[in-house]
Amino acid sequence: MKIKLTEEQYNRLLVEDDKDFLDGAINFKHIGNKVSPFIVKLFNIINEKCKDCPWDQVVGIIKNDFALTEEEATLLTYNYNNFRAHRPNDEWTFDEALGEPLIYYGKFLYDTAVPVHGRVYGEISGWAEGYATSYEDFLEVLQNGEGDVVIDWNDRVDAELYDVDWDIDDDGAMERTIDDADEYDEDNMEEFLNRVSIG
Amino acid sequence: MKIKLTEGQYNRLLVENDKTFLAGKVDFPHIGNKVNKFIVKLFNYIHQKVGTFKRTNNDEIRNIITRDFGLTKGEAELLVHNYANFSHDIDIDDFSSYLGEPLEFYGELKFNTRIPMQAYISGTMDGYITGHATSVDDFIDKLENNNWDDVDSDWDDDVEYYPEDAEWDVDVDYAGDRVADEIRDLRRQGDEDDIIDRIEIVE
Repeated sequence: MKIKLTEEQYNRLLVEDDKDFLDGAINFKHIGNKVSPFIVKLFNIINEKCKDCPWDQVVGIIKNDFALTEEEATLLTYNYNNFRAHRPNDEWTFDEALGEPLIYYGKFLYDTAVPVHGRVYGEISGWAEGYATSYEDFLEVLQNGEGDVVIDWNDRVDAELYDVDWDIDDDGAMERTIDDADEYDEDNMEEFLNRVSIG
Repeated sequence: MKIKLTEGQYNRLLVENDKTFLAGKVDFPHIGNKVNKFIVKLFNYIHQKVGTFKRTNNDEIRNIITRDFGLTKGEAELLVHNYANFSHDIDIDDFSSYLGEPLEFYGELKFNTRIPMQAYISGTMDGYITGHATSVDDFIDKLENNNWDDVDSDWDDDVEYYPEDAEWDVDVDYAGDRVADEIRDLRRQGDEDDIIDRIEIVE
């Protein structure tokens, strides 16, 4: 398949950094930061083979049929969808995208304190009580599990706190992250960037 | 109201311990361990007011005994139980024939034990949020809008937590079974004295 370039597209391909994303922070092995002839071909094949497939299926095809990494496939799927979203009718081809910058789309990681919760078990002094006509009758009440359990709240609970099964508190994590992120803006990026990594 | 006694009833009233229950462990301030004239009158009065015992009039009878006769809650519990026993299956309107009959003890007892508890405790640990974005700014927006993919922790790290904040509840499902198991175990081991030592009668 031959691809025709405009002069502008050709010049851009010659001079620009065509490899990195996010000011050099990200560099992929098999793709650069612009739509190459290979990517045009890839987009055309996806369009023929799996035009309206769900996200994960498109990522899978790009990974398996083109031997790209998960991260590369994710970025290309995003750009494939983005390209189509901006051209709603069918009067276009992916050739138009040749030389266009690819939009970075990848996984970011934000270091934070994660709220967790766990169930802990212990014991406290108390008693089981119930109505009975004699001690023997009361023992039967207890053996049948019919006594009411009452706690001596003046006592402390004995608990093995090292033996807790902790789980992430998803709701708490959500609220905490929203509050946390709300403290950053474009003028206050340095501290935020220290807590972010791109994976 | 006059009450007639048989000679047997009269003799029993003269010689027997007519005060305590459970081998002297329980002693009520206003009633003894037998049906006396006062209790006959009380039972007759209850019958006049509410009729024979039914589960549904249990509370009403107890209230009459404490309110109209000035007896304690424990005495009322015992008398309701005995009123139910005497009037069970028969519509009796005069309880004189029970004069001198022993009252069956019925009261609240408690067994001292350890109660299983459970609580949720909260803390924090080092971790991270992950999400897909087109730039750092986009990622901040996504964090702020709760549009991230996953949250995970470094599970090798220690949890910082505050056990004093735990809100403890009785482990209800387990508590009843545990008492029953404890009683069976003590009986199996022949430790009945230990059981009795740990039982108290609630006044």
